[in-house]
Amino acid sequence: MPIVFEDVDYVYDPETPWQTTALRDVSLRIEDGEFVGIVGPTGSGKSTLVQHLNGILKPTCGRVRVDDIEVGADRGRMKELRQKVGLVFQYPEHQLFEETVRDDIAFGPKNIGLSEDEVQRRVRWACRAVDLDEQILDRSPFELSGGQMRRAAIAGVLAMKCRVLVMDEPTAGLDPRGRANMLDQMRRLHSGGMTIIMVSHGIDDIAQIADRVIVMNEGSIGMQGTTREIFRRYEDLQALSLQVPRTAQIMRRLREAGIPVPVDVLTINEAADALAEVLRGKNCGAEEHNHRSVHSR
Amino acid sequence: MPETPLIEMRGVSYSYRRGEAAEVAALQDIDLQICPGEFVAVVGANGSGKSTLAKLMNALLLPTEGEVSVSGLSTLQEEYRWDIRRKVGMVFQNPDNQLVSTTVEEEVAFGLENIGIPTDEMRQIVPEMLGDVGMGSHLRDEPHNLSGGQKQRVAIAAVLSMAPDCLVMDEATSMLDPQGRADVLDVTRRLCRERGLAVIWISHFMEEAAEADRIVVLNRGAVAADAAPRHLFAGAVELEDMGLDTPAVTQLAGEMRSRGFSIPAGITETDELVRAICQLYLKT
Ligand SMILES: Nc1ncnc2c1ncn2[C@@H]1O[C@H](COP(=O)(O)OP(=O)(O)OP(=O)(O)O)[C@@H](O)[C@H]1O
Ligand SMILES: Nc1ncnc2c1ncn2[C@@H]1O[C@H](COP(=O)(O)OP(=O)(O)OP(=O)(O)O)[C@@H](O)[C@H]1O
Ligand SMILES: [Mg+2]
Ligand SMILES: [Mg+2]
Repeated sequence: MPIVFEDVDYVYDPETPWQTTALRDVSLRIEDGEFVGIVGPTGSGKSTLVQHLNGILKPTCGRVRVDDIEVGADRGRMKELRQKVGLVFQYPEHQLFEETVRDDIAFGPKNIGLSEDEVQRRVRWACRAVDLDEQILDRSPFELSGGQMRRAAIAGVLAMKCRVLVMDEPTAGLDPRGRANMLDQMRRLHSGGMTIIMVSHGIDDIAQIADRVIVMNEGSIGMQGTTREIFRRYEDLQALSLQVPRTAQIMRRLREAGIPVPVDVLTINEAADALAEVLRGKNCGAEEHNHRSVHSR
Repeated sequence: MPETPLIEMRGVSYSYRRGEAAEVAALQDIDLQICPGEFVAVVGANGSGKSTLAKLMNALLLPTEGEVSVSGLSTLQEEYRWDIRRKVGMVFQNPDNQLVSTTVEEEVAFGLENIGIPTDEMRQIVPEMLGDVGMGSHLRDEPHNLSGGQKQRVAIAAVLSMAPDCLVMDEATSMLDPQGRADVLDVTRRLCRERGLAVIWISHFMEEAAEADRIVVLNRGAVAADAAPRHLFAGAVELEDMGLDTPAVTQLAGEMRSRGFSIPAGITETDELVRAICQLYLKT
């Protein structure tokens, strides 16, 4: 069953001088098995939005439903909700708290009453999934580098094997290989049927992986659509401090220089294929096979 | 005459939990010089030692071997530490570690006060500095109640308010939207050019590193390369083996080469790729 927001407002510190309306009249629907990217400028309400999904925040007005659980209203079902929806926080430090990395990753699985064997199996699986060196499992989570901490925090949530995975900036702080691996891992989980919601300023990451994109702006949904539709809207995105993917930016520059390439590409491979087609169409591609053997690495 | 380095590291090693069973050798035998006005990017895989290197530069960590000096003052000498921390400003990976005041404006005022700016002048400068990072409407907010990116913006303004000689940015823009990221990079580059600020820019984004004068690559606690971006991205160093990659434009150029097109190696800027493609396209 889907995730549904109906006319949701969220206000921090209501009725104080610091009152901040972080969400305003948000309605949306996410179907089972979707991969949704959420983007938007600093302070637009992305983290506030996703913290409703596992009940950390409850709507000030309106309703949030995950399957048949109403967030905030069905108080007795919070534990069930947290088993369904795993949330990775924007800063991993907000998530880690145990004495060792191993205990931290094991915390969730233990808490839902899995056997010690199964718990350890999950810990090992989760470490491999995020490429976390097993050597550091016995260290304190606060004695890690930034990227290692991020991996540990993600591993802890993955180990729960929730049906819905919500990640707030999961690739921030990961090195390029780690980022690529993390995206591959998410792709695998998604093709296994998991619903994934990913908040990110990494437009290139979202472009590669999401089916659909929601753009937040000042607490409301500014735009939504398929990934290609959204990342075609160059000017609209710029007006929101956002951008099209880097490859699409390069294609725009080529087009401005008179090369008739499509500009709505999402990945480097797509760009290279499209560009190659244009060049071959004008016969400047040379004989592919001879060149391939000479030039390929 | 060679310029005197602002930061000099000689034979520096650092281990966490030294002497314990759990010792972690984070850096080994680093020799590095940073001059005033230089913009140096530091890249490397997770755990390669970048943040450790940063903390050695402003005496938050002291070398277990070797010596770090800032304008000739060794970080090992306690009497210099206050001076060193004023000269070398640092924005941490997680801004929670440095935001200490109860309001956003105090965070910046604190820095100004430290360098002796009079109160009436401060009243004018504080909103200006926060406006520059897009936080002009949050002066009275509590720093810990801000969004992830808002915290980073405040941390950056707070460090700049101390007018440091050297700015160490440890993934300081990782939570900013694309425009915010570009703005901070621009401001930093301007200060570098106009005021001779030395900048250490730690990042996992090769596009950002490509804009530096020099890129230092760390691999397992050692300097694996220290070279100009063009040299590095032309394939002189096996970046992929070290968990890294190249800018998108360099990758696209590579993809075109492997599809049989003659595009020169070492392209790091979009203009260069556009020129190379136009040449191919217009040849026929
Ligand atoms: N704990 C809090 N108390 C009060 N206000 C808050 C709190 N957390 C966030 N806000 C405010 O709510 C608004 C939305 O914040 P939110 O964290 O949802 O933004 P975001 O889109 O995740 O931004 P970022 O990209 O910077 O992470 C901002 O104006 C922010 O200052
Ligand atoms: N407080 C600490 N105690 C023990 N070991 C630590 C501590 N902080 C970092 N380390 C270890 O030191 C090594 C270098 O860490 P450092 O934080 O310098 O890496 P980094 O290059 O900044 O990585 P990242 O890209 O993940 O931020 C890593 O192996 C890390 O696990
Ligand atoms: Mg956020
Ligand atoms: Mg680091």
